[in-house]
Amino acid sequence: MSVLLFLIICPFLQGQRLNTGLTYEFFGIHAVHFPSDIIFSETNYSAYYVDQFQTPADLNMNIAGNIVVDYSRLFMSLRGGIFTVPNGVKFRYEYPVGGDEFTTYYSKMQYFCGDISLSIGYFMNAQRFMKPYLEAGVGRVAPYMYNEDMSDDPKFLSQWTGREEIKNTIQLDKSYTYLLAGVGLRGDLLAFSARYRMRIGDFPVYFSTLSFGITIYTKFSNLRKHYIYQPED
Amino acid sequence: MDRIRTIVLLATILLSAVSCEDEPGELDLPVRYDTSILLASRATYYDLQEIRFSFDIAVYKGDNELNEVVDFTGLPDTAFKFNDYLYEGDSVKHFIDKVEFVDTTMLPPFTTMVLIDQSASPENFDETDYYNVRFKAFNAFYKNLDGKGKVCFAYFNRRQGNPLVMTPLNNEPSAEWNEDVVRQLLNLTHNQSGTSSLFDALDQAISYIAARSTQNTSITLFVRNKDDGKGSATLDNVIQKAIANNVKINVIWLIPNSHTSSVDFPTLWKLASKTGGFTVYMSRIWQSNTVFIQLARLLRMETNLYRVSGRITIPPPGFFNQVSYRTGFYLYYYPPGPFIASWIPLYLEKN
Repeated sequence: MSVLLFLIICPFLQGQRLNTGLTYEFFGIHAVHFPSDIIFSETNYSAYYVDQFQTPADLNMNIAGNIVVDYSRLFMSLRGGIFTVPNGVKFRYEYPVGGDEFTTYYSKMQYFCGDISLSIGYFMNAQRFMKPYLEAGVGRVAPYMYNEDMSDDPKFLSQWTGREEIKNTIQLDKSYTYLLAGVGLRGDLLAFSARYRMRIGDFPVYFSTLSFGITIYTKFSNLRKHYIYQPED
Repeated sequence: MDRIRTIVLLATILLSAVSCEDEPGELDLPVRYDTSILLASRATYYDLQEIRFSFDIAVYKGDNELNEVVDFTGLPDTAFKFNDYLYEGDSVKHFIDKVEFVDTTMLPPFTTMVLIDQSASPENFDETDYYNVRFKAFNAFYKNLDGKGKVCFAYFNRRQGNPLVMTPLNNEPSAEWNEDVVRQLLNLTHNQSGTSSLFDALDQAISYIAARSTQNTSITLFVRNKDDGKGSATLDNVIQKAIANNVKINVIWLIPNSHTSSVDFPTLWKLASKTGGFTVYMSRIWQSNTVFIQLARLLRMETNLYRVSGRITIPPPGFFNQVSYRTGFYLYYYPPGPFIASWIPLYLEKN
């Protein structure tokens, strides 16, 4: 939907400034809320206690190409690329054993997704070299690879490889649409950004990602920058 | 602009692909050991120097290669081994006369209450089931009722200042798996306390279940300790009430061989035998998985059994107690798996 919207709008913006860029998001915090304090194993007859709100953080490897159209203090950004966590997102849950103790288990999800988003931003101060901005938009993630391992070791030095214990609870193997909100600082050739993606739709678990990235902009080849008005020298 | 459109269109096509969704897999059953269930035992002839007896025993395979529990077929006569020994100075000998493998007649859908011993004294489950295997066994049973019957769960213990001796976890017996009930079962892990209110709890459980079902009704008791003797109900009262209300009492007891003093086997045997229930003695928690996975079939008698007939003799001047005789035998599994043999206690009463 966002892509179609962009396609429709693009012809009307031919006179505006057009930038391309490459974004690398290197770190993400995943804010997750489980609907209940108990989850049921998807491989056996166990049930686990789970902290309903968890915020696992890990390295991201989100690489995306950007097309940005500026219009005065507003801009529209189309971003497409990959969305992945090379070290995996880890969730923690516990099984009660004797003596008032618990065995703690971890599930680690690694996924490789296509990610496309469309956002509209607003420069809060256009006079600075690095212009602070806010943005909001919508995007879609489509996973192409999903892997889940389980371990009782938080470092996963030993693990049950491929044991999908909470796959259908988290549902990160399924495509989803997300709303995004972001803040950043953008210069002519460089931008720093933080984006918060909130998964929407019919999913049992609230899943969101706050990711931090850097974007390098280039001039779009064979196109000149245009302005709707002549800036004063 | 054409290039942009091309890139965007390609991205759209790429993202519109639907990821493949796997069918939900069958859940792995918990680890299991071979287990035998004593369905009935009886003394057919009881005299001073000879007791003739027969018993029915269902035997289930703890084959972990299969994701199901199957009947243990093909056991030879030599699988049933009694130990001859000296009794009051004389040599007691056991003879197996006949072993038959027979089928049973299926019963109508059951209604059962799984009554869990939550007492912590003198024994508690931590000693025999530290890793809480029993929860998986309960859940596997509950999740695989397959329309065979209805179940409710309850637990019992006697705590100081608490008048409740039996607490149901379901409002009503149900054939449907319920998440809240399972949550309460999981919570039971750390809620062992007090002493055993066995007879009082059974008394209340009979009233509870008899009010809700009149056909193939039972209480399946998962027991760890003997009654603390502090209650008002007695063994005879409980048995009479169960018979009057047509409620069978099945006894599953988990006791290491060295801790048998914490239970009262004749009492457990009487509860089951006189009400038409079965007894399962387990020394390993992994046997309980086999029992609970098979429990829905067992409660409908969808099982085969071994009918074993034998004799016990003692030469004069020795003689047997003329009220009851307590013995037991080893059932050796052929081929042996991780578990070689089960000890099955027998209690024979003169009619």
